[in-house]
Amino acid sequence: MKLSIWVSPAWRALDLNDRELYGHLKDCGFSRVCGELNAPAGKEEAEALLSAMKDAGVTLVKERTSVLGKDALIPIIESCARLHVTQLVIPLLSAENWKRDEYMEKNAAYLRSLAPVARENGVTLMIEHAGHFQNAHYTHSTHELLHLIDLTGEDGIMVNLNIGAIGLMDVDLYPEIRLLKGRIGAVDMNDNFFGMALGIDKWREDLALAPLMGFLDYDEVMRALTETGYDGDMNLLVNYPRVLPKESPYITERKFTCFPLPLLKQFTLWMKHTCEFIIASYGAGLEEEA
Amino acid sequence: MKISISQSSVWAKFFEERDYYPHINKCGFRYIDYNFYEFVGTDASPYMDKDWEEQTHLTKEAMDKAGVSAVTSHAPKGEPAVDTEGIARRTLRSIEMCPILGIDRMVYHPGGIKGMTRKEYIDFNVSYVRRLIPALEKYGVNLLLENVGRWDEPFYDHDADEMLDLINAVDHPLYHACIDTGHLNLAEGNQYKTITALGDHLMGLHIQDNLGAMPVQMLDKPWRQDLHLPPMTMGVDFDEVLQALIKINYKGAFNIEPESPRAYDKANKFAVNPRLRTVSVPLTEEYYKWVYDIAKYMLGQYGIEAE
Repeated sequence: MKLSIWVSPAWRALDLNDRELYGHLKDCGFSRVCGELNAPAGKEEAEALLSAMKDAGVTLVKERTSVLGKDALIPIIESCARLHVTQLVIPLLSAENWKRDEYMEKNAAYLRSLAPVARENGVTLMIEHAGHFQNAHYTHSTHELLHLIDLTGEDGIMVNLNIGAIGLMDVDLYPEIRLLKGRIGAVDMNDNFFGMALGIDKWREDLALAPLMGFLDYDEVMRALTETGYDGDMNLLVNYPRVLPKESPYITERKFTCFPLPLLKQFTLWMKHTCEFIIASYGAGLEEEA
Repeated sequence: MKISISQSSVWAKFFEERDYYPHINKCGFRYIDYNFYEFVGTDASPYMDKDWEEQTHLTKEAMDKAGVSAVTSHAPKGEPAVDTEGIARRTLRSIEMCPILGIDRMVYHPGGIKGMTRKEYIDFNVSYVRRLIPALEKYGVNLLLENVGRWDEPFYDHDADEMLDLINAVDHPLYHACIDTGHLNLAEGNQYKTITALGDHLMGLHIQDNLGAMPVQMLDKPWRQDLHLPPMTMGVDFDEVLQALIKINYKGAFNIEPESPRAYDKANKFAVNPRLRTVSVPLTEEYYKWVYDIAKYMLGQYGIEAE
C-alpha cells in the first residue's frame, strides 16, 4: 500500500504557491498527492505544476473532478494525461425525476461514451458511493455501484472506495468492501459519525474527519481490504480542520480565518502516523517512495 | 491565562486514573479539569468508599508527582431531576474532595425533565443547589452552572438570559457560570453576546467545537451534534469567544474539552480480533500536544500569555 494525501481546502486557504504547498506536504512525509481538477489544464499550466511538484519531490497520483457531461469532461481527461495522472474520480449524472432504471441506463451510456477517451489518454475512470445528501442518485450501495459498472460492459471503470462516504450509509463495512474484490481502483480514507438522514446538508453529514476520529470501524475496513488483496493507494481525503468564519455584528477584527500552517502541518503529521498505525496493525506493507 | 484540559475518556482506554497524569503533562498541559463526572460517576467509585480521603490524597500525590494541578472540575454525571438523591450524594462527596485536590470550582449540569415549565425548572434547580450550599460554603467551592442542551431539550439553560434567571434565583456568592462553546453553538447562541452578558459570573469554560444546530431529523443522534472536537476546527466563532473574554477581563482557565480521537467500543461480528478501537498511546499524546498548541496559538493571537 502507498499513502497519499488530498490537498484539502485547509491547505488551499493558506494561499501558498505550488512549490511551497507541495514542499510542506513533503515535509509531512507525503510524496504522493491527489488533487481537484475542475478546469482543463493547458500544456504550460501542466508543465508548471509538474515542475513545482518535481522540485518538491512529490507525484500527483489521482484527480477528482466535479465536472459533469461528456463535452466538459473530455478536456479534463486530456489534462490528466498532460499531468501524468492515471486515475480520475468523476461524478455521475442525476435528475430528480429519474427513476432507478433510467438513472442506471443514462449513466451506463455516459460512462461508455467516456471510456474510449480515457483509454486513449491512459486514464482509469473511477466512480464512488453516493451519500445520503445525494438524494437523486441510486449508487448508495455497493450492489448498485457494481450493477452500474457491469451495465457499461467496460472493464476499465473502477470503484474509488471512499470509506467516509460508504460509512454514511450505516452499512456493515466488511461485507460491503468484500464485494469490491478486484474492482477497487483507489481508497480514500476518512471518518465520520455515521450517516444522518435524507435531506441533510452535505457539509454537516460528510464530516471527512481523519481516520479514527469518528465512529467508522476501521477494523472492518482493514480486514476487508487485506482479504481482497488490495495494495494500491490509501489516500487521506480529510476535509478537516475547517474554519468557518461568519459575519458577526459584535467583533471588529478576525484573527481566526484559516488554520495556521504550523498547526496544520502538526495535524497532517499526526494523520500520517495514524494511517501508518492502521496499516501496520493489519500487517500490510507500506511502500516508501523512491 | 492557564490552559487546562478536560480528562477525555480516551485516556481511560489505556490507564487507570492516577496513571493518566504523566501523559497529560507530556502533552504540554500543566492544568486539568478534574473529572468527578466519571471518577465519582457511580456509588461504586472508590471515592464513595469509607477510605475516600486516603484515596483522594493518593490521587493528589499522583497529580503533584506528574506536575499537573486541577484548576476546575466537572460534577458527577447524571440527571439531577431524575436521580436527585444519588447525584446529590456523589456531588456532595466531590465537593468534600475539592480542598484536598486544590480545586475551588465545580461545573455542573442543571436538572430538567421533558414537560417541565420554566417555573418548575427554576424551582427544582434552586432547591437542588440550596442543598449543596452548606457544603460549598464549608469547603470553599464555587458551583458553576453550565449551559446545556439544544432547543428541544427540557432545559431552560440555553443562553445568558436563561442562565442568569437561575443564577439570580439562587442568589449566592458561590453560584456562577461556565460556558460550553460547543453547546452554545448547538443552541444557536451568540458567543460574544452570551459571554459578555454573563460578565463576572463567568468563571469557567468548556472550549470545544462543532458544526452548529442540527435539523430535527438528527435529534435522536446526539453523538452527531455535540462533537467535542478541538477549537478552530469546525464552526464555533472563536474570535467572538476571545474578544468577549478580553472584554469581561475573564480570570478563569482556558479549559479545552475535546473527546477525540474517539474510542470505538461497539461489539462487531465483522471485526475479528480488533486492533483499532482507538489510536495508540504515542498517537494520543501527539494528538493532545496538537490540541495544547492550538490553545496556545489562540491565546497568543490575542496577546494573552499562556501558563
